[in-house]
Amino acid sequence: MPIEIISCIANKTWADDVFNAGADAIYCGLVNTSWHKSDIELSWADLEQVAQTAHKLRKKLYLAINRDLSTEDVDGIINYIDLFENGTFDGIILSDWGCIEAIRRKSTKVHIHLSANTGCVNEWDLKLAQEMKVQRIIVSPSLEFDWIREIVKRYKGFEWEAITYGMRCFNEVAHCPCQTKCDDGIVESVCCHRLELYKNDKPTGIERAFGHALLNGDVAKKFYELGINHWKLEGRAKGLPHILKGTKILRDIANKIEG
Amino acid sequence: MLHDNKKGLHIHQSTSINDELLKQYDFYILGGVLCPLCRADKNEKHITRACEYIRGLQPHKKIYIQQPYYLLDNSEQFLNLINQLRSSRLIDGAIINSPGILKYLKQDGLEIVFSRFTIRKRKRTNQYLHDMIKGHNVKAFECFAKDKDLVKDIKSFEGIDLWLREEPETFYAFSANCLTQRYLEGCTGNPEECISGTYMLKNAKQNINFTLSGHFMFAKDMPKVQEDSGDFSSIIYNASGFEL
Repeated sequence: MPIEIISCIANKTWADDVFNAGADAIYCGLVNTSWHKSDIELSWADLEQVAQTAHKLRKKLYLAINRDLSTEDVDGIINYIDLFENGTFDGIILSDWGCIEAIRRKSTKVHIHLSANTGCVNEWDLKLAQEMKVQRIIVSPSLEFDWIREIVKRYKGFEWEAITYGMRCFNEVAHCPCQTKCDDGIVESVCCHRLELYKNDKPTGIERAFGHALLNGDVAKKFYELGINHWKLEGRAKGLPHILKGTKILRDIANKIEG
Repeated sequence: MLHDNKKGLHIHQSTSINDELLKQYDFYILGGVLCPLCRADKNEKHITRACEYIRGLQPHKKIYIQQPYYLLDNSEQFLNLINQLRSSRLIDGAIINSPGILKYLKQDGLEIVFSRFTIRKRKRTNQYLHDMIKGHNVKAFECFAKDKDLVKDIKSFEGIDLWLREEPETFYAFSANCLTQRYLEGCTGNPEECISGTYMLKNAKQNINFTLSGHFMFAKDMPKVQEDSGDFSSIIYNASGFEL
């Protein structure tokens, strides 16, 4: 089962570097439709340019629209639905069930990824996702391994994705027991504390804040063995060096696992 | 849209329930029900007893159960509990955040309110979501009064009441049940030493809203709902978190 590394961009000029670092796909936001400031999101025109770059390299582009939307927002997205149907964009990441409903009324071809921002994924939402022909589930960092194993086993037919929020040093925002703050806020290698995460297969407050600890190769391998072969790196607000470093680490881990 | 200006009380699992408190409100919402992040010891027996107790003191007032935000692998358990409480007539409704559950809830005699909860707390909603859920006995949407755009969105839905939520008086009570304390060993219980506690205290003075992804909301300085906030069906007040 090949591993897909999905990295992110905050600017159309990042795309080449991020693909060269080892990403198989990139995702980015659409201006005015995410939780982030508009200066890290792209316009429809920029997105089309990035899509061309991706497809020339036989890579993919996903559009992330992961906040709750007004009726006008949804109608605006529906206006561009043919760009998804004709393959200009390879998929759309959504957290708004109303938007999924609106897209499915128009098209069964659009590849939909259910964002972890829909909330913690329980059985009913997974059944609903099946009925609405969602293709991919992005697993919430709050879920325990046992439950992830269970839902991957029970709900066949989905692609499964895990997310990591990148390379932020814990001491920027929390209190890492190692007491060592990384110089530029970007870890050189996996922070010592991350090795302690998932000790009992239960996500800690750290995972809830920072996503799955995919940058730890042992944890990444555990996810792979569960059947989760799409790995996403978040953190585009932290800048390009941060994303390139994280992408390379994930690519190295994936290469080791795939042999 | 009702203009009956009712006052609801959100009773978190840590609140003392007594008649003095209940008398002041028109209906009640039980939160933290089977929530893995709240008290792990809140099982079906406890919830049923709480409902029986409230029914005994205020038999003519409605009780709603809130679907816990972190409802994961105990979703079957939650569904069974709701159905059981409904058939015993111990609850009158449920506040739901998963659209998926609406197909599986037996809804006879159950009022459904659609929750403000998404992972980042809902800020907007749309007609398409309303179309998805309207056939399932949904009588109201709830939201925080300060989310003006969301209030406007909900008011545009035909036949849907608006429940306004006050900001919680204090979520500081969560520090006693912090995620770190539950999941990491070696925590001293002192917020200044644990990872989550340091995060909270570091940012407390900045009055920043966080999601429940390891962060907590400090709402002590948040604006309170004014009772003249305009058209709404109910205001829901949060009981302060204090120990049973």
